[in-house]
Amino acid sequence: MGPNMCRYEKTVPEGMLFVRIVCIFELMVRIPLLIIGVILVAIISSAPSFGSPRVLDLIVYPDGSTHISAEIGIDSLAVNYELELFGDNIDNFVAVGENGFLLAGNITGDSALVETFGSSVITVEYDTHDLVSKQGRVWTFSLDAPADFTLLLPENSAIVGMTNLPINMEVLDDQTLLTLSSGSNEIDYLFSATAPTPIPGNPEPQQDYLPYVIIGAISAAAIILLVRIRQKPAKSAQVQKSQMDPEAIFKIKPDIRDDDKEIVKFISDNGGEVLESELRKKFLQPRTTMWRAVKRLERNSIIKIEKKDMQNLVKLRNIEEEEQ
Amino acid sequence: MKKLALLAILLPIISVVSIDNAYAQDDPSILLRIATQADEQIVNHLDDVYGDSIPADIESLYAQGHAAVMSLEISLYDDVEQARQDFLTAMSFFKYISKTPFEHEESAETSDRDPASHLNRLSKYLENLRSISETHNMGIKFSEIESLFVQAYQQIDSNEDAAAAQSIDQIEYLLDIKQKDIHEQTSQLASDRTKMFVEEQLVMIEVILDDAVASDSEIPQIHDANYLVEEIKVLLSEHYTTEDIVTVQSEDSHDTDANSEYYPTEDAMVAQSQASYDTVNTSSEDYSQDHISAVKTKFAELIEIVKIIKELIR
Repeated sequence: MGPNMCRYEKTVPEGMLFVRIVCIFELMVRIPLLIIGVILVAIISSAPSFGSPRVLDLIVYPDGSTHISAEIGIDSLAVNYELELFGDNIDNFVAVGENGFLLAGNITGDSALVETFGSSVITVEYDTHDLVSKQGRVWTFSLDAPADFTLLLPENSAIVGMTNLPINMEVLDDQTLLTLSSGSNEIDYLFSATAPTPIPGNPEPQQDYLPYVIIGAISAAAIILLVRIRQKPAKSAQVQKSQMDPEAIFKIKPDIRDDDKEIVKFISDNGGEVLESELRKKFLQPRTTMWRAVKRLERNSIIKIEKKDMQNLVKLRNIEEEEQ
Repeated sequence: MKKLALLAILLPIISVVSIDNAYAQDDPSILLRIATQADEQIVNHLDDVYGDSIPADIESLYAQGHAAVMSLEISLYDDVEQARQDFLTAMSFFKYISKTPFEHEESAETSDRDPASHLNRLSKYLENLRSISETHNMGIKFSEIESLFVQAYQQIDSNEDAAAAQSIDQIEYLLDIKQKDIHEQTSQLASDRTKMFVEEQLVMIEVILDDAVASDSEIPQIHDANYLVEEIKVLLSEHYTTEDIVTVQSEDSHDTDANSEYYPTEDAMVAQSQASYDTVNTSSEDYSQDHISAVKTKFAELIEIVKIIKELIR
C-alpha cells in the first residue's frame, strides 16, 4: 500500500493528543483476520439452538397416518429431554442417541420424556394419526411445525389447497415431496388418477451450511478484489467511463428516439445494467410499452437482455469495441 | 469505494440474517406448477361432483382462482412478490372450492382403513429396531417377523383382508417383544455409558472447583459441590456395595418427617481408598437402575451448583 492510501490527521484539543485514523479499512485488522472474522460471524449466527429439530421429515400414508422423523440437538448434561409430540395417538416410538444407542422414553399424552443423559443429539421416530383429517374427498394435513420440514405426500395425491408458500417441491416416484417453512401449515389434497408432473432438472438439496460458506467466500473475494481495485483507480475508471458513455452511443446510433435515449441514460447512470422492472418503475410505463422499447434497443444492438433470478436484466453493450 | 468496502463487510452479515428468507423460494416456478396442477384437479373435481350443473357461485369462485393462476404465470418472472400473492390467492380459492361440496359433512379423523399403510409403518419400526440391535451386536433374530411381513403383503394383494389383519396383529405382538428385549439389553449398556460420561465430567468439574478455591473466592457452594463429587464417585465405585449404605437424616432437611437420603458410610469410603477387594465383588453388571438414577440425580444437582460457581467466579 502506498503512502497516500492512509491519511493521519492530528487534532490537538487542550491537553490531549488525538489521532484520527481516516483509512480504517486497511488498518482495522489484517485482511485474512477480517475475512476469518466475517466467515465466523456467518457460521456462528447459523448455529441451531438446543431443542429445535435440526432435521424434520414427515411421510403421509394413504390412510392419513403420518410417520415423523426428527433429529434434535440437546444439552448433553441434561438428564432428560421433554419432547413435544405431534399428537396424542402415538405408535412405534423410538428414540436413539448418537451412535445409535436406544434411549428410554415415557409417553404421556402429547409429550415424551426421553432419558438423554450424555447425548447431544437424539433421533426420534414415531407414527401418529392426528395430523390428517378428511372431509368428503379432501384430505387435510395440518401442522404447526417448530422448524422447516419436508413432507412426502401419498402416491397419486394432488394438492388443491395450501396456506403457505413452499420452499421447494419435487416429485419422487409419483409422490410429491414438499419442503415447507416452520409455523402453521395446512395442505389439502385429494387422490387423483393422474400422477403429479415431475419437475425436470430438480436441483440437489442444499447443504445447511453451504450458503454460509459461499457467502463467506464471496465476501472474501470481494474484499481482496476491492483492495486490488484501489491500487488501480485511474485506469479502471477511465475504462469504465468509455464503456457506458451515453453520448458515445448516441453518436454511433443517431436514429435513437428521444424516449429511448432517456432509457439509455438511466441504464448508464446505474452502472450499465438494470432490471426491466426497475425501468418500468422509473418511467412509470406499462409492461408492454416498456418491453417494446427494450426490444427496440436490443434490435439496435444498444442493449442486450439476460435472465437474472427469473427477471430480465437489461445491459448496455460495449458498442465502441463492437464497432471496432 | 469506501461505500463498496462497507458493503463488502456488511453483505455477509445481512445475507446471513436474510438467508432464510432468500431460501424461502429456491425456484419460483414451483409455485406455477403447484397452482396449475391444483387448477386441473379442481376442474376434474367439479366435473365429478357437479357434472354440467356447476352452481354459479362455485363457477365464480373457480374463475377467480383460475384468474389468479393466469396472473401468476405473467408475474412469475417480473414480479416475484406478486407471483407469491397470486399463488396464495389461487390456492385459497381452490381450497374453498374443494371443500364446499362436503361442508355439510363432519371432518372425520382418519382410521386404519389401509392395511398396506399399516404394514409400511411397521416396516419402518422394524428397521429401527433392527438397526439398534445391530449397533449393539445383540444378535436378535427378526426372520420370523420378516416372513410374516411377506405373508401379510401377499394377503393384501390377494384381498384377504381378514387374514392380513391377523398377520399384522401377530407382527405387532412380536415387534413388541423384540422392543422389550432390546430395551433390557441396552439398559446395562446405558448404565456403563452413563458411568463413563459422568466420570469424564467429574474430572472437568474438579478442575473448575480447584480454580474456584485458588481464586480465594468465598463461595459457599464449593463445599456442597465437593461433597456431591465425592458422593457420586462412591456411587460409581466398583467397590460400592449395599452393605455400605445407611439411612441418615438429611442435614439440610426442613421437614420434620423423615427425609431419608442414602450416604455411604465412612467405612465404605475407607474401603474405597484402601482398594480392598476381599469383600467387594461388585462389577458394572450389578448396577441397578436405581443406582444409575441416583447418579443422574446427584449429577444434575452438581451441574446446577457448578453453573452458579462459574457465574460467581466471573
